[in-house]
Amino acid sequence: MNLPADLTQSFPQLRGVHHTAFPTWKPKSTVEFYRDGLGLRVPHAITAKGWGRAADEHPDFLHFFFEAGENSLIAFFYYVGTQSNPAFTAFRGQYLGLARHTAWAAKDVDELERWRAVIKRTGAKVTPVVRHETLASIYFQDPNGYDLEIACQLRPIEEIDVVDANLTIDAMVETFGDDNPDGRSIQDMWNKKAELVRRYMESAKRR
Amino acid sequence: MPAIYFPDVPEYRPLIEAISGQRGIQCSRAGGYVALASSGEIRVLRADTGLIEAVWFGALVGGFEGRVAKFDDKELRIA
Repeated sequence: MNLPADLTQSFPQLRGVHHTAFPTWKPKSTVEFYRDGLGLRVPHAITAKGWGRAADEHPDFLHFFFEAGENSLIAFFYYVGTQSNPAFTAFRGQYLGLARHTAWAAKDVDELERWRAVIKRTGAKVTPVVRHETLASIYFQDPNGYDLEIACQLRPIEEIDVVDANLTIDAMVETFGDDNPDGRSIQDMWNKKAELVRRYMESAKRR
Repeated sequence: MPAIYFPDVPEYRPLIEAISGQRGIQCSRAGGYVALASSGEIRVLRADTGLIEAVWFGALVGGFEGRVAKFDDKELRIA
């Protein structure tokens, strides 16, 4: 496993998500969904005359925030007078679009089920609770087409989970590098992973 | 000789049990991992694990030696 060479090096600490932000061309539906449908409080909203360098031709805009718990926020930009740009919002139904999503935390599966009922009431489609590895999740979309998830941890993360996750990403990096120049497959990666796990098991036996 | 490795965590135990209970499977454990090796093909049916697809399709997370002869929603075979 590639641990940082200098373990005494100290990093500053990140303290959770402050906010993520997305463009919207549906300010009304967005407010109805997040504030009225999901009951998220609006603590902050900015209205601004377009600024920036002349080359940007920056439009006038609103930037508004919804509270998503534990001091985190989800925020939107509404650029007045601009045309909606599907490249930003219309990913729906595609696995690549699903890859970019926001996942909020819930306490447990009961809380997920309560959220499920609330989301259904807004008229949005929501999946059943999916249990996958150490998480359970529900998935839905906001009125803009952005993919959302609410997830809860099903069990605490143990040392073996961390070891395995790190061996996996080591295998991934060694196999694919950037842009997969050698056209390797996930089978190649699983073979590499087995090699790393075997080595790890041998060193654990010696300890 | 085909082999499959699993982190020994609750999510993968149905797979570990379904494979290790078969004849001819050698099982070894160390460092929180389970290695399951066989002189012949390793085969496991999803029906014998009770796993939902989200976990089943992650079955090879620990890596394997050999090649995937089949991996669909019903069956995994490593040759």
